[in-house]
Amino acid sequence: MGREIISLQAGQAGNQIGAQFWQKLCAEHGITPQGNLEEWAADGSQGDRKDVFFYQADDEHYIPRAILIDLEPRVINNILTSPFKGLYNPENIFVSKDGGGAGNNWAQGYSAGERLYDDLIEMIDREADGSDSLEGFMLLHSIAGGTGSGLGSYLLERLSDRFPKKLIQTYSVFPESSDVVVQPYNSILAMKRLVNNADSVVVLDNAALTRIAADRLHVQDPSFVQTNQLVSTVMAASTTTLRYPSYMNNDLVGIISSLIPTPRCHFLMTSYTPFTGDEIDHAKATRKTTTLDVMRRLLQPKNRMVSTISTKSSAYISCLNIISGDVDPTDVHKSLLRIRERQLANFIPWGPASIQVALTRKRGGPAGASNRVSGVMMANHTSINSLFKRMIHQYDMLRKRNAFLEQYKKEEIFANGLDEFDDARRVVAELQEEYVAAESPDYIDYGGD
Amino acid sequence: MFNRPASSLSTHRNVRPSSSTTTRPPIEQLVYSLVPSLAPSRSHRTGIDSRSGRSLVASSRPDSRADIDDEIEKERKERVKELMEWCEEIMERLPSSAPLSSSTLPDTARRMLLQTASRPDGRSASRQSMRGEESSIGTERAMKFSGIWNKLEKGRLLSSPLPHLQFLLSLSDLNPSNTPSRPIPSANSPAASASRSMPPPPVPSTFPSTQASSSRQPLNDAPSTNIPILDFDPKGKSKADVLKAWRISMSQTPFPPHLLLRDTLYLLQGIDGHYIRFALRPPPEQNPYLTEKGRAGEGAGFPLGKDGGVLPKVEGDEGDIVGIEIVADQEKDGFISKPTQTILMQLSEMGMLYRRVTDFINSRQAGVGKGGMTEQSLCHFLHHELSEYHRLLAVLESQMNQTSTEDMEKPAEGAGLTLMRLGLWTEEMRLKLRQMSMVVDEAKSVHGGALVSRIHKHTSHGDPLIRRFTDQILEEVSKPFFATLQRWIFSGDLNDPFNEFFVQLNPENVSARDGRISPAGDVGFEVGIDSAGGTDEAHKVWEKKYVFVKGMVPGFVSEDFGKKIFSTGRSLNFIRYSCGDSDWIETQAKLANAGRALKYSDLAGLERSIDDAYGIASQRLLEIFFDKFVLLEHLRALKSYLMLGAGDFTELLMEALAPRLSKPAISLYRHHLTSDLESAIRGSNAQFDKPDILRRLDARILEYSHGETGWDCFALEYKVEAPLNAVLDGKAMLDYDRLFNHLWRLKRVENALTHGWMQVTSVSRTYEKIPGLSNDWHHCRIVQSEMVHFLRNLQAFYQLEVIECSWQALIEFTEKREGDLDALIAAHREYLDRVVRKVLLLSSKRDKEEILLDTVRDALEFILQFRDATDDLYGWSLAEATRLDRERDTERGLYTTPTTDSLDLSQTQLTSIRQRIKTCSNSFQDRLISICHLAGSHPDLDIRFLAIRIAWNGHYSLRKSRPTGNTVERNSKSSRG
Repeated sequence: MGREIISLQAGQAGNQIGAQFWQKLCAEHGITPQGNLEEWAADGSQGDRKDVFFYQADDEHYIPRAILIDLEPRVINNILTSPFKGLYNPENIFVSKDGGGAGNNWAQGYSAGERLYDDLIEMIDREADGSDSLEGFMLLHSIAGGTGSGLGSYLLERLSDRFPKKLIQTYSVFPESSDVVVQPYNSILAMKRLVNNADSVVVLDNAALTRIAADRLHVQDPSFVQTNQLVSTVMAASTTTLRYPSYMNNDLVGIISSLIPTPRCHFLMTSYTPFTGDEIDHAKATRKTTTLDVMRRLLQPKNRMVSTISTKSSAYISCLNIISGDVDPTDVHKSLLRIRERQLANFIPWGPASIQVALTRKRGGPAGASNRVSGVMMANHTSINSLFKRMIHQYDMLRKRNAFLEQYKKEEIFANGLDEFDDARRVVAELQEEYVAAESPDYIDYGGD
Repeated sequence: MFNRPASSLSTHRNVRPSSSTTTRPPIEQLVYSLVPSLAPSRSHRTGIDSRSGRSLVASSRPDSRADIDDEIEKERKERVKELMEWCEEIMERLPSSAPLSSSTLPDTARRMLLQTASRPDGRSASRQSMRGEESSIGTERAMKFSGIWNKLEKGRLLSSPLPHLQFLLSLSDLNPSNTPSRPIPSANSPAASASRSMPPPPVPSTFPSTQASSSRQPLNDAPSTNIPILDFDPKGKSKADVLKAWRISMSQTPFPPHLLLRDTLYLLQGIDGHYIRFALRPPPEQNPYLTEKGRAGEGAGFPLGKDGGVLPKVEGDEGDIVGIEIVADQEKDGFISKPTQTILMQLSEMGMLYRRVTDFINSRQAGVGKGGMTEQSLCHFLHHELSEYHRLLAVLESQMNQTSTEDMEKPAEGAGLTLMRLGLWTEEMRLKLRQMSMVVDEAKSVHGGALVSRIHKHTSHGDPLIRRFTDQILEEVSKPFFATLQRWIFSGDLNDPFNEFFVQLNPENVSARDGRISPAGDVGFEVGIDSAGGTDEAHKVWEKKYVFVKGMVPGFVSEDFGKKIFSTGRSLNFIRYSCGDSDWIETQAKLANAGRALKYSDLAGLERSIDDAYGIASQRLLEIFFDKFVLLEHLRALKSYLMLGAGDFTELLMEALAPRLSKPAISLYRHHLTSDLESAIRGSNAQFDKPDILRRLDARILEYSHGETGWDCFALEYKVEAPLNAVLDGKAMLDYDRLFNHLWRLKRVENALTHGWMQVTSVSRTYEKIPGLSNDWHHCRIVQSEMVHFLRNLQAFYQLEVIECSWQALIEFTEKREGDLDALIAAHREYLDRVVRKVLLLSSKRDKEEILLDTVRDALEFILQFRDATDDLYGWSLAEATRLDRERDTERGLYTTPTTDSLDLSQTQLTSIRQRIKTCSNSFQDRLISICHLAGSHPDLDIRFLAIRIAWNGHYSLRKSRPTGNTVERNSKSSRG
């Protein structure tokens, strides 16, 4: 079977999100923590496609197509003591032998990547060979720290070299300003790889996640577990159409191609609604949600998982709503009309753009499972440039003082100077400019020689 | 009403008593005024209006006697003369007790009328005055008399009213000088008097006929003359006695009544008597009275062919019984008075009716006519009724025998039989006979249900007797109908050997399978179905096996109800023969419980039974379709595979087939396709589908012409057989084919576009650095995103607005499971029509039905061409990149293989590629604008919504005026690359 996607989870955040993600997928597909099928899922009537994210071992157990990489053992050890310890293929778990981590240093992570290249690429090759027709890779990481950011960047470079015809999508957690002191350095260096080496980046902003947890879930000071649950929920929702095939949106390239018209502008923002206790621990129940409610809320900036600053000219380049649950198709139709009437969304002026809606109906599920209406939006929105602007700004602030550069200079990549920093900044600035340009009708001739 | 005493005054021609002074002409005029038929001219009607309508000569004086000839004129004059003599004679003998005074005479009459109030015998009062009806209260009558008298006097209707009155008064039994007399035994109707005084008439008196006025023969046109009054004894005898005495004196002895009675009994049995026999209709041209209007008789007569088998005509056939004819030699055997003749004639009507009915029965038993169980049952009923009639006749006969031993002269005293009594006692039977005869007539033109229906019409008769009798007939006649009905609605068998039921085998089919259909009834189609295997479409069986014959629906079953019955049996039959339902026994048991004996007298129960049976049968049939034949699974499979709902399957199939289909159609082999199909099934979730569904999936190569590729002629097929093809009929499968064709095309373009995206957008890193091309690529991407946007919106529209929404409606129907198979077929049809209409974007406009679809296909074609062009650009870029690398290497002094491509050549290539890309882009954009216009002004709201979707952010205007400029602008921009 085809369209497999290999997940790479790097670093603390990547593995935490990954663990939640796999739990969620197992629950949806009826796979036990041991990799067996639940009774209700065993008859093949679910209409799902487990093989996109799982493969079956000789004993029919389902095993995630996941590679767990970390330079420090803590998070992975947590996973290996959780009920899901038997789920993963032990050969796919890589923990650095020295266990020292990357010290929140991008350069250290990057160097570790170079050092560990053979081990890592062996795992990736093995997984790729185990796929009939690999569609691409999904990298789960944060760009603030050392491992996810640095090692992740290295992996991106290598992947796009080695698998030029495969898609690379990342779920990248962007840092809050206070997380790590050197995060502006780490971020901008990782961003260069995200721009150059990834096909699609789903931006998840820690600041926005915290805000959403507080506003939507009424959880003050949310834990990492909770914010990671938010992320894994979005990940699961945005891959629903891949896992439950229907008339369209059955492959990643189909979804991405409709969202990303030009290669650089591939930074997607997401919204999800409604978050309830089913997905998130301790979340409050919300009232019954209609399709229109869902579609309207998805367009509200406060539900976006990215904190951006919209201007009047900010516009959607593209927008895809994936609605699941018991949805009456006629409701979708009505909601679309209503949204258009109210002009709830602003679109780019240089080409056709609209809200696309994909319906997925997870059939079956355990008895009594609610089939509430929920929706995820994946959108390419020009306001994301404010995020990059902030990033450049923070980088500039730090760089001006030449602060904390010593740790970076120790690594090989900066041995010959800090050009890499400048190059990364240039790339991010170009991206930011392009997103701004996409707000104008002249984008049609953007980048002319 | 038949034994109303005859008005005695009509036996005497009105004469003025004191006519000694009158001259002859007034008398003659008086005669004319009273007997207008004798008037020389046609317009002598003076006296008529003053008389009651019941009067002998009143209403029916024929208007024209164009064919009157001299002979008749002579005869007329003779009669006038005779009558006048006779009148004078009477007048001479009249007592002149009453003074002839204009003032006293009416008073006297009034007084006498008042006195009758105290009389017990009310009936006799009616004799007094022709003006007075049968009122029994004297005062009232007196008043009435006054009124009439006033009218007469003032109206000058009678030339000499007083003499008339006096004459009448003198005859009246109110007149104390007259002794009250018994009613004359014969003659209740004025008609009797008309022919009574005549010698044996030259023409037979006839039955009144309702059929054609031209055939009526007036009974009263025979002039009555020549009745000399021999002896008038004013104080003793009744007028009848007087008349009798007179007749005896004229040596006209009355005909022996017992002989008459005996003959009458013969007549009643439809047999010619010794003296009286049935008259047959003479050839029309010989009937001099053909054009004359007869007086309307009591009963409705019906023509009856002697042989009973001929179809009725408007004109009676020669040989029809039209009346009776007295063949007795009245000179020798005695005189049969006119009233007696009339009564005989009326009685003989029964004989005629009897003959008709028995003729009918006999002919049916002899096998004449269309036959049928309804008729047989009708015959049975008639037979039964006739035996009742025979019994009655037997009783009458024994009565007659008793009578004959008694004194003939006093027949009415005791228990004996008289003609009058005969009339009375057989009256009910006569009504029944009439009714039967009517039914018999109906039975000749129609049969089966229509006959029942016709008879049913008579149940709304006002006469309770007739109503009850009709009900009885119906009860019996409808038995075969109900037997057939019962078989039909409870076991789905059409047991109707004579095509009497309103459900009939379709003649088309019967003729096609003539050999198999035995006349004994319905053999069903089980033979046909089994032998034909799957080739016989169940749809055709369901649709065409039986026909609903509206004309044969009995009147007591409404058409809606008939349809229900039709559907019930059809369902059962279909369950039994086409679905081969093994649970049939169970169903039948259930039906038997619900079924009560159906009969005409329990129409409410009938409706209940039919409703129940309909419900059970329809429910069962739907259950069979949904549960046994898993119709919904098949529909879902069609949606998944032929409408590409199963995305993973489609994807695998597309992937496997794409390389093959890109080649010319001629190089396609079906076994390749089927093996690809097989692996697509195995690789996708389709593998979990039921084997029964998967085995129906097949890959097919359509007919292709030269130059077509595999894409043009590949089709996925889903096979259905009976009885599923009752719903999924040939037309439906054709529609599914069309849908697949279009959706598959879309999928192919989608596939091409996503590959294109990988090349144009994702992999662009590899060639980005080539100078001078970034703008080209940027434009390609922009146009491509437009294409992707269009395609995805089109697909999303199909999936969401069209397929899912329609499916939803279908599911709602299947969940309710209301109605019968027809409803199911209709629901599926509606679903499919809706999907086809919207997926193929069909317009209702004639000739332009596919204009939008064609534009969409054009647009898709340009997308593919665009893809080819960008492929070439990609190839060129790679070549250019290699060339640049080599240049760089050469610069660095590395050895390179000599380049064969010159820079100029590659620049030319680039120009042509750019040109192609530009052309494709522009053509595509033009098409898209047309699509937006066409869809935007489409009558279908959903398709209009598609336009809204595509032009969501106003990039394409939905109005016609703007976009041309827009296009030019954009084209000029894109050409600048």
